[in-house]
Amino acid sequence: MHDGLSADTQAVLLLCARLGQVESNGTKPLTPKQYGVLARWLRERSMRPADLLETRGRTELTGSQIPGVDPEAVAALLDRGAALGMMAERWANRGLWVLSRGDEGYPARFKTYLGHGAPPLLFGAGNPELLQSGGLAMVGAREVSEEDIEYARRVASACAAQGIAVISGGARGVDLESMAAAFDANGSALGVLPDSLSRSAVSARYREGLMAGRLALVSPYDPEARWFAYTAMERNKLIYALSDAALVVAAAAESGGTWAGAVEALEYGRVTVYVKTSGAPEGNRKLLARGAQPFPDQPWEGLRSLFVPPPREASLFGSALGPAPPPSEPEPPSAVPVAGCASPEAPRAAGTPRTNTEDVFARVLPVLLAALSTPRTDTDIEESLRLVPAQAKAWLKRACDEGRVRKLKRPARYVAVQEGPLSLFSNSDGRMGEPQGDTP
Amino acid sequence: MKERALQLLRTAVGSPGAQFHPGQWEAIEELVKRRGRLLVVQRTGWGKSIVYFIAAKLLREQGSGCALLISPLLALMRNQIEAAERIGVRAETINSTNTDDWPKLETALLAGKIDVLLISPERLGNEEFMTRCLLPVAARIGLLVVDEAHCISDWGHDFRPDYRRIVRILRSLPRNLPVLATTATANDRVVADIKVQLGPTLETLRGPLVRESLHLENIRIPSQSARMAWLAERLPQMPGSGIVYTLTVRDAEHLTAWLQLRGINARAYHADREDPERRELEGMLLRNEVKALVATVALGMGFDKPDLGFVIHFQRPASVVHYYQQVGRAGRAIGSAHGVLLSGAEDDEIADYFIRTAFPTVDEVQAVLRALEAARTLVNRNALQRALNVRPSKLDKSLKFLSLESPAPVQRDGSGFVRTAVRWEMPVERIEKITLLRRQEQARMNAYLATPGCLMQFLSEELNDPDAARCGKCANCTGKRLGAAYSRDLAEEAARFLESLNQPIEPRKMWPAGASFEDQHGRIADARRAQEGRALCHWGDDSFGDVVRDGKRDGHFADRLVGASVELIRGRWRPRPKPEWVTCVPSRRHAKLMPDFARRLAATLGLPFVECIEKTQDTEPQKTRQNSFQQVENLENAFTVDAKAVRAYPVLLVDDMVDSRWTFTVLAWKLLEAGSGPVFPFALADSSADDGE
Repeated sequence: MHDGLSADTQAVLLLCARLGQVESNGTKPLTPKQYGVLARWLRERSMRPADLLETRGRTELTGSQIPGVDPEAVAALLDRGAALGMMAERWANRGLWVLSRGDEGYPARFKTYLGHGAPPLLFGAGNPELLQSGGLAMVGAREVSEEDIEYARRVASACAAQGIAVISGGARGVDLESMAAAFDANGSALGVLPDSLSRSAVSARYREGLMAGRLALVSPYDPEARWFAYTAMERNKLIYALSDAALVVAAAAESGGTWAGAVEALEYGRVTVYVKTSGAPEGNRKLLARGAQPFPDQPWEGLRSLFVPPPREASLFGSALGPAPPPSEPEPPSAVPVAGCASPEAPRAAGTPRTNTEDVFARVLPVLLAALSTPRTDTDIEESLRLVPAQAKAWLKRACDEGRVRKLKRPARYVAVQEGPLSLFSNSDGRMGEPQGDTP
Repeated sequence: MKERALQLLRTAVGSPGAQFHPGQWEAIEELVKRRGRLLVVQRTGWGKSIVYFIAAKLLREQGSGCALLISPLLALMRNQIEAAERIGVRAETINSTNTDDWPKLETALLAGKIDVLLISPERLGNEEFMTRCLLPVAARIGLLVVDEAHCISDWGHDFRPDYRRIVRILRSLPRNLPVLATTATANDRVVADIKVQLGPTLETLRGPLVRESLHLENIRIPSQSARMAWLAERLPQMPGSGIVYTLTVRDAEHLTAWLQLRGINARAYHADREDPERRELEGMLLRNEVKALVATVALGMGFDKPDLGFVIHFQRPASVVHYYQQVGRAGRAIGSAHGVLLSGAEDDEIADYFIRTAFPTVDEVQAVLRALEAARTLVNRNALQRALNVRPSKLDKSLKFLSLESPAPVQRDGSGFVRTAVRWEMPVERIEKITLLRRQEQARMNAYLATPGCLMQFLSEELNDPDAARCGKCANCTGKRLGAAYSRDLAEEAARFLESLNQPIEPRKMWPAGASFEDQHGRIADARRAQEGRALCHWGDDSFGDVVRDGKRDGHFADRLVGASVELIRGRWRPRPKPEWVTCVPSRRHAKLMPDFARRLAATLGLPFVECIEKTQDTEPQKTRQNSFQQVENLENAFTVDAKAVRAYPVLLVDDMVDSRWTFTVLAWKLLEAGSGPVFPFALADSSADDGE
């Protein structure tokens, strides 16, 4: 293979990427879950994704039974070679790169910590080596106080001075300010974006950092993808997975992506989640109650000493489990993670230690409420959360029954109930509630 | 499958006994059976289109999507489309001229009703077209065909920036998509380069290049007017109709006018002609309705006339490959055809100019990058022009160059440009290598001119044709020559003709977008606009160009220029309503030069000379101000017109040089405002650029 995409990445792109096609025009790309099933099928036959581009792979595929995957649809996806060429050209032209799980530069952390939840594809811009270097995740709401911003900038500068990369989500507020401060102090930053990578990669805000090799932007989604609450939530997992420790600068209590992401990370219990304590919002205090650690006061010397596993009792749910052992993941030759996925459609926290008795609805609810911060139809919810209609209806009904969602009439729409102490979603953290108007 | 293919061939060509040309079936088999990648190097007329039509048809019969044909051709030739239709292959083109049909074509494509889709390489760079039209259907493309594939090679004689994009697409293609690259002209070096781009699995299919009925001859006649005389005499004796190639647009126009004057049915063909007109001209040549098209390299790719009687070069082309490709258009389905290379004294200078200006300079490119970096948002072309002192054509050249680098430091987004985060440096080494190669190619052309051996063999060997051999037909093989003889009288007449050429000066109709002149925007009011003017010559011409140059240097324009100007104004131009007074554009640098000339001119014309324009401040010469914004800005307060002196009659406004036309535009505006009658600009020389093609 000459420079550019590996044959495996080509195959995964053909299978999983939109490649500029409109959804309505025929075959839909595989979902990560479907891809996982196919990857397992390949492994069982000692094949890699690239083999699907060869006669042998195609022959094996024809007429085989793969649960949830239609071999004919897969064949049609694989025939999109010209579209792949054109999209790859467009990405390359914008300085974007793409990695699949079998590529050398694909972050080992994803495979280790997320298992089969590791995204099949990772699009990026800037210095890809930053994916391997770890660092401090810095997250926070978009609407925060000047003091919080100032605090975030100081921590980020300290990280820069100590050669620690700042890993964040590229949203307005704490995310962007931390990344910018790290860069201003000659440090490195890594942004994991839920949308619009293509546009961000050419924005003046990031240009200098990307060109200097001290910034990388990555996203598991199509570089031209729009913002969805669901994808913003999903990418939080990636931020934590790439980090050695996390600092929550400001989280609204029980509301918004910052909160939900932090709670998830605490439950998973791999990295220690620190919170800013002085003058912090209620959310920070509640996170402490859930096992987060106070971020030390200044002076910040030897921040690396914070990179320790969380105390065992940190996890509310899985205290017996402690830090999750990395799923054993036989890698090459195929480098495609085993897709041992038997989970339901729920957008389960990838890599979360699984319990057979878990009520998935508890995990779904925050996502659902986030998506319903403004009234939306059941079809909207189906699409933005990528659900089958029956599942969307069932969950919406249950949310209504539990009084968390209200149904509006003519046209029939649903909206999150916002009241008193039950309110999970104040507007202080717009990241969960509404699509970003002004994408960074 | 071979039987089916043969059946399709016979139906396509309408002949039940037809057989494949050598290599055709092998090519089809490689594409359809092995879904391989194939480079076909075969001379024009071998039948490349039959290969991809039949391959497309067979692939379709196996359930594949349509073929995408990327070609610089404006359209498939009529006879090709007919052949395709006979085997049930529907071929359509999507381009900027048929946007209304896009939705219909898109639907047809998605419904699988189109078998071959033709687009130009430039289309691939049009974001809107790609997003709206091509990408949604790209999933259904089952075969990719790249025509004129030598263009994808850096070493190709005809490297085209837009092909850089095709290279990047080809490099990202998965190996399960069959690819066919075709060219009529590629030497080993180019083939090797294409192989690097398309990957090691590329198969190459190469045929012989010799043109059996072509008589080649080289003739050296240094003087332009002598060559014009030679052509006027010899063209009528040439078999059938053909092509005369020139290196520049201006030469194509002048030569055409000369040949027409000599009663020869010739027409000019070059890149300044609109597409429909070019197609019409091609049609006229195909139907033998003209004796010759006088053309630049713009007439090239894809033009296919089997019975072309002659190809004559007025000047030496850039390389052997160029020359072979152009001369090889003649002498296929015709018993005898002429390929004559005339070479002249100006060849080296023109070649050098093209080589020097092939790439934007480091400074030009850096200036564009700096301007884009300083901007936080998208910048459009007009804003860039305002900010930078560069000619629009140069700005475009820089922008195109930058946006076709990979990865690109500059990206186009709608009508604006943005600096991407890509670290980039001018590829100095690549440019040097290509420049060096261009010079070597010129040297090989000189070797061709000088060779005493077989001319066809020389060309074939340069193109690494394994079957190169003595042709027995060329002037060096047979000793039969047309020869360099020409009529002295005709040559003198041609020289006078060259002298008599004059350049119209089109009045400007719009103020530059985004700029203002004395609060004027947009359209220049009819009542304030100059009339069409004239320039006596072009700065670079060998007619009066030198005389004007000497005059500027010596501070005095020769009387010869006065005489020639009067002859032009009274004889060929005859502006109406007739000018009744003369004024001139003053210069503070050479205060006497223009008034002195204009006074003599007025006297000879029998008109009063009135000095009514004053230069109130020094400006930089317009020549150094490279674009409209800067030029108009430069002029805003530069001149005052003495309204009392202005006469209410038509006036001749005289200047030495015209380039951007803004000086004339602004002064005509001021004179008309001051109450003058219609203003007729007249300049001694037109120094605007001629960028070839």
